[in-house]
Amino acid sequence: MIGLTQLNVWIDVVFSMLYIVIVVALSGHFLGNVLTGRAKRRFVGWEWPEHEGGPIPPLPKFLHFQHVAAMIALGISGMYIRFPFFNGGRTFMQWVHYIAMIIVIINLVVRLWYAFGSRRRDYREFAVTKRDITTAPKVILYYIFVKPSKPHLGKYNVMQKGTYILFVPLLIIQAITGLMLWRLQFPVVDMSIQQVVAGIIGATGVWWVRTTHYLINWLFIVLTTIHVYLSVTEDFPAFLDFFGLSFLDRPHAPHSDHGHDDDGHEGVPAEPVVAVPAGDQV
Amino acid sequence: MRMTVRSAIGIGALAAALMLPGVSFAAPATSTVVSTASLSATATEAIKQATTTVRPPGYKKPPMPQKQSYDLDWTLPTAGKSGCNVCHGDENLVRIQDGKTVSLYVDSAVLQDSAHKNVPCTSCHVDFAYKTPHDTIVKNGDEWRAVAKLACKNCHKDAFTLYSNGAHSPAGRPGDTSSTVGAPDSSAPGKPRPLCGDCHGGHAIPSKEDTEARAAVHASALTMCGTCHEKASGDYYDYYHGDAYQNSATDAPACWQCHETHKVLPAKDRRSSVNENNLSETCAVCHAGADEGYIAYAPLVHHAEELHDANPLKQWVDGIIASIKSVFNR
Repeated sequence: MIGLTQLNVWIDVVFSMLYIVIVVALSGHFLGNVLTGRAKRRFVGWEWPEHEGGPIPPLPKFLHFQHVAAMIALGISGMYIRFPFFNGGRTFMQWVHYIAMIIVIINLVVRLWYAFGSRRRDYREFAVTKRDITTAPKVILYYIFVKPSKPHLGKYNVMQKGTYILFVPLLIIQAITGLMLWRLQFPVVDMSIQQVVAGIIGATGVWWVRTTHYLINWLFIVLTTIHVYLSVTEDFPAFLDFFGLSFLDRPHAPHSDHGHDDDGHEGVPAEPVVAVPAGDQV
Repeated sequence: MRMTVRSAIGIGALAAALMLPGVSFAAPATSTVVSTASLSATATEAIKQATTTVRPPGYKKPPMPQKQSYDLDWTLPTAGKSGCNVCHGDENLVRIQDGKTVSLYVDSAVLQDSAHKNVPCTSCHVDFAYKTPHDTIVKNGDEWRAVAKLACKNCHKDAFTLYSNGAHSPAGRPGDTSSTVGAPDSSAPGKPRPLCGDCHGGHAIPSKEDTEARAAVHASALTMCGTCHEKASGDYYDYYHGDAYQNSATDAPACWQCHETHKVLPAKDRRSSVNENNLSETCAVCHAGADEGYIAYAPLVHHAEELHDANPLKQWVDGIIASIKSVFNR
């Protein structure tokens, strides 16, 4: 069995290198966008996909905005706790981590209620259908520039749905492991949750919890990086809208790389649609 | 040893000390510490002013004891600190030793803030209590300093017992340099084994009750221990311990939190707190429930870089990077 020492070293080496590989790969992908003319069509010609359904309601937008801010704070403060990369500020960073953790947990609870318990119940938008699975290869081929267009699949494609669905259990595990590692000394009882946990599962058990937390942290960093890249390069108006910047959007030109070809007629340019600002989409 | 007290004010203060009741200096003692030939005109004037004391009307000089010995007299003002500080409270008090200017100044404010504010000077500088200080003790190299640095044992017996059983102990032989030098295979090769004062300092020893001072001591480990244990302090930068400590984390352990404070022993010594037999107990101080499986982490504490460098994936990537660099460097 691999020791704690070696596992620590492997995690650091693998993920730090993996992240470099991903950043290089995304840079390469953007170069592909430039070389194939996709970047010019989108950012110069302002050709973006149109969305089904109404405009994004305020609550999920607000939750998303908070979630992004808290996750960035968690990522930076969490990495600082493991790799203190500047002098001082440890206590401050720990508190940033604690507060952001609470925000993310509350966000998660509210978002799950919104998806399953609210009047809007938007969980169906994330459900992976049979059609999603059959069209998945075409989506992948589109992203790697083999096919010039991708199938039209409603609000999210299969890769987006898969990622967002994966986020939920990861967030739950991250919240549980994070709480188990919480070193805040509570008054009156003068104990931290970590001390209680250590009393139950021992220091080695706590170390495995920490390792799990650290691994998932890397997964979030990787997935979020890809998510941000794709949201900017594939659907910039939606990106702007999520951050309340839809006033920067302008009428979209008909998009030619979105063929609505879920019947297998990939590469056929879409019919021109009436240009509508993202905020006014129906 | 050539010794010159340069400070004019110091000389004045010394002269004033002569006026204190119960104190009388023998002429030879003062002549050895004062070289008036080297004094400037300003300094001479200052001495004149200091010695020409204006007395109130009706003042009577206190009776001086007859035939009182120098040694006995010296203890009186010293016990109350004011005696020593008459001269040593002057920040310009220096002497020339081996061509270097050495300060003999003792900051009264620092003493007052220290844990030993109520301890007389001669409790630590015991060899100054019953002997002439300036013509015999001080001339004997650094022996008086070693005496002071080990004087802690007179009060802190438990700590001294632990220290005596540790690797730092020179067996209480101040000045015996032949037996106080670290062995070549030690973690501080060629370094003298520290006396109490080398780690704890001298006049500014903080009180345990002083939270700020405790924090400052906690933050000083790399200076305190790293001065001799250079490699160990340089290697101390694993994630939550060394790296955090080096970046001022107050909850990261200082050297002595793992290696003990007084009974410091090499890791190979079975009695050492960082010997593998005792590691789980040592780690458990902070990591409740630390067991034998947990101590497998220990090599990372001081060997993080070596372990990362030995990782096969990193070696492979480093090899590729080196190859690419060599192509461009041709």
